[in-house]
Amino acid sequence: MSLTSGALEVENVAVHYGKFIAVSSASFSLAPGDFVAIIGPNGHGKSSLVNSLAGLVQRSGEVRIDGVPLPSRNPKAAVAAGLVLVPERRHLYPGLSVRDNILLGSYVKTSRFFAEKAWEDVADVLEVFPELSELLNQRAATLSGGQQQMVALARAMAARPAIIMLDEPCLGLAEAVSKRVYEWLVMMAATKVTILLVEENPVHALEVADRALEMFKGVMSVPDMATFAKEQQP
Amino acid sequence: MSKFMNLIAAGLASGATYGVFGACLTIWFRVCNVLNLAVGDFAMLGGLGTAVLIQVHGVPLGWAIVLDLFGVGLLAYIFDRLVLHFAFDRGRSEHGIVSVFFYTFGLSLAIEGGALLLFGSDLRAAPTLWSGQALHILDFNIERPAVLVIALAIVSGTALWLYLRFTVSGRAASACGESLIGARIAGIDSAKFRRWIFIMTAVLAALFGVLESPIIGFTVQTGPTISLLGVVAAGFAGFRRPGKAVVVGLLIGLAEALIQGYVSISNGDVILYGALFSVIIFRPSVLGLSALA
Amino acid sequence: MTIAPEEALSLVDSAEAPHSRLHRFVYGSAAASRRDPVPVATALFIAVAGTALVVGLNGQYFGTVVGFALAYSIVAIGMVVQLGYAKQLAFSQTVFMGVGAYGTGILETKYNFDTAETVVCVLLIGFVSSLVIGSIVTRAPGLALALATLLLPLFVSTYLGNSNYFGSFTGILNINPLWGTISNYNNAMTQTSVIAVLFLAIVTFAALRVMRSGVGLQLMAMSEDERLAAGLGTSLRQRRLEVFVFGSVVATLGGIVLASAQGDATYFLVAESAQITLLIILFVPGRKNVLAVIGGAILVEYLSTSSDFMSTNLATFEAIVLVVILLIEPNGFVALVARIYRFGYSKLRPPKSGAPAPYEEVTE
Repeated sequence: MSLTSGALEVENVAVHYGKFIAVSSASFSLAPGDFVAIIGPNGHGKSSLVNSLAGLVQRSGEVRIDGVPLPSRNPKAAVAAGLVLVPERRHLYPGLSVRDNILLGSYVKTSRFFAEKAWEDVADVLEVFPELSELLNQRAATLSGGQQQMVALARAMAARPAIIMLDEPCLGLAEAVSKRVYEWLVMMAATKVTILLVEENPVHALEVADRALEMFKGVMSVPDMATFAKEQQP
Repeated sequence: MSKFMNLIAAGLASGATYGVFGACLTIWFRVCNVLNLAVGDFAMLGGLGTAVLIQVHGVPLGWAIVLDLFGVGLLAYIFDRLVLHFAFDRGRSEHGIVSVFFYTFGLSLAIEGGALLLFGSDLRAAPTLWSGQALHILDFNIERPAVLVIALAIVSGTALWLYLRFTVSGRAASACGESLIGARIAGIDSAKFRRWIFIMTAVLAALFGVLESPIIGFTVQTGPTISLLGVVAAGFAGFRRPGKAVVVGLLIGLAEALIQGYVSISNGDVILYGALFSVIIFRPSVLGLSALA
Repeated sequence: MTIAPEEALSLVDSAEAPHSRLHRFVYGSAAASRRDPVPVATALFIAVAGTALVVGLNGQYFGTVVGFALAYSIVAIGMVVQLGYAKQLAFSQTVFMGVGAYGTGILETKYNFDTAETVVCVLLIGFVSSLVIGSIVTRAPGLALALATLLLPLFVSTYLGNSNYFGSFTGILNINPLWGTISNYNNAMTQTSVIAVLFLAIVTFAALRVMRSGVGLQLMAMSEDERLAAGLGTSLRQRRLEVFVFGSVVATLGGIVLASAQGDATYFLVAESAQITLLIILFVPGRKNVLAVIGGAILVEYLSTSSDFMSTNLATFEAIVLVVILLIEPNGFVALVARIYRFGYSKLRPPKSGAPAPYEEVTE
């Protein structure tokens, strides 16, 4: 398991792409074991926010894990601190095998030199995704979308995260696979891992999350859940 | 029979050239999807630089090699910091033809120009590291420097294969070329892999140049000519498998020697290039390039 | 892929009956509401300005430079379409320059063809050979095509250098100028250059017409995403072959002009160093800009003979400029100048009142 407890503090984070302001202001904090959904329409800064927390894009403001500031644009530091992202569209390594894709999730934390030994350390993720056991030697590019998503989740688990961020994990997946993903989320929540879930479809997210935050035009706010529930009614 | 065996020995020696270059090209392409068109020029710097340090400046052999390899490594580091870092790490990487070819193409031209100023246009050769008469093995003779060259090719190809196949670091290096974002998400520093593998392949090519120059002699024009067949060897390995690139390079060298020995010396290269061209066009799957196209 | 919606629609328009293609080729795409003046205007400008330049430089050293540069410019225009626009990784232009140069030399010196017959026959040979070679090489995917065409100059130059029929290392000498007689070298050089300018104008017209038509949009789509382009109805094999043939025939014409200007054809013309020069001429000035590559060809040709220092160090100089330009602006020097201009203009121009906030522009 991760060495950090999973407390995340985000203070006045902003993300700019040149002149375009993707996130103008985001501040929130997560206690260890929290399960928070970030909802909002497409193109309003949700992905930019989580990508900046993961160190993939430059940000301003401060991010702290267990009180320790996280440097900006440093994914290695984020993973080392226990903050792991399952990105939108997965970004697996298409030419590598399923085994290697999962194994590389532990790259930052492993001290092993040989890949086989490092794999032995993370092979327990197959208990959660037994269907991947038969696909270990298959190239990731040849998997179905649902199988690829499972590999992406397994890769995140291999990193032994304290905080796991998921960006639209059900994008493009069949209903049955989406259900599987949500079952996994519930299982992870039970292990007291802190979860930050970005979802464009709020209905499913709010069924599993403890609370929600809303991103609208780059600004984060706490939605009025009563009004929100009314809007979601057919 | 002895003619055949001697041609085999000569072919393996020249094929080792293509193989080492192919392996260097392959592993770096695998990490960052860029063709290092300057690999032959690094070999030229190894051979010519060592020769000039010894013959012109009187530096002892061992120190000349160390200084030369250090200089090549430093040049590779500077190029990565000044050019590749800005090209790929600052969030504005240009994909396609420009990034695949032209940064290292420019480096190749610059090295040739600089080498012309520093070393002149004379043919030079570094002293061999293993002097003595040719070895007589079974029914053929093989020069001792050629043995070193072949050994380096086999050792380096094997080492690179083992690295990619069995180590966590090798897997991470491969991941950089497969998906840059995927690699960063896992905390893999793709810039570091790109930099250090570039330096390693530059130094390896330079070392090769030190071993090869006693056999054929180098000028500033030598590098690009022989590196093209290294590109072909790497291509036949799909730009993914350095061990296979070494094997293919050796086979190309053998084919070249046998064609020149039994068909025609003057048209041997023509036949070889034509054969390679035909394979590339009619059997691109041999290259495993369809996934890259 | 940055194509405006109305342009994307014209990609569908492009898949129309053959009998209207010539009409569209001359007068512009069906999506345009009026005839496109740019190709004709550019060609006329090149014809008039180029003729004035070469006539004005009659007998001068720079006139000779321009004369040789015109040949490389012609080839480079073909490369603008082939490499710059369609991003077809084919590095065989020097091979077809060799077809043009050696074809001219063989027909004139061994078979006593006159100049006009030679030009027509060699272009025909270039067309047929590019069709045959192109139908084979364009089957290969991206990097395989690059590899194969990198081998071609090596293969051909080695063969030419060893072949007695093609003059071996000496090449073929005593090739006639396109116009005039060799006994009056200065006038012949100028007259040949005038013909070369006219060829350049024609090639520029053709290239611009292709680039600004529905076919050009298809090529741009193919260069970005072949599957998308195929989904829009583009015949990938046909277009790849057409681009290859266009670039190769234009290179053949460039070879004819160069051989006529130089008076000889040697295997150096087909060597890798010549291919490198062409790539520099294309990529440094601007790989999608026809006027830029013409200027680049003149500059490179001038620098290569301007002084001992420059001719010795030209490769190093070109390398540094190439890398610096491509780092800052991958589309070349002209695109860099355009970017600087737009930046300066945006700073000097007062902001529009009521302009939408950046976020609102994106969400609409």
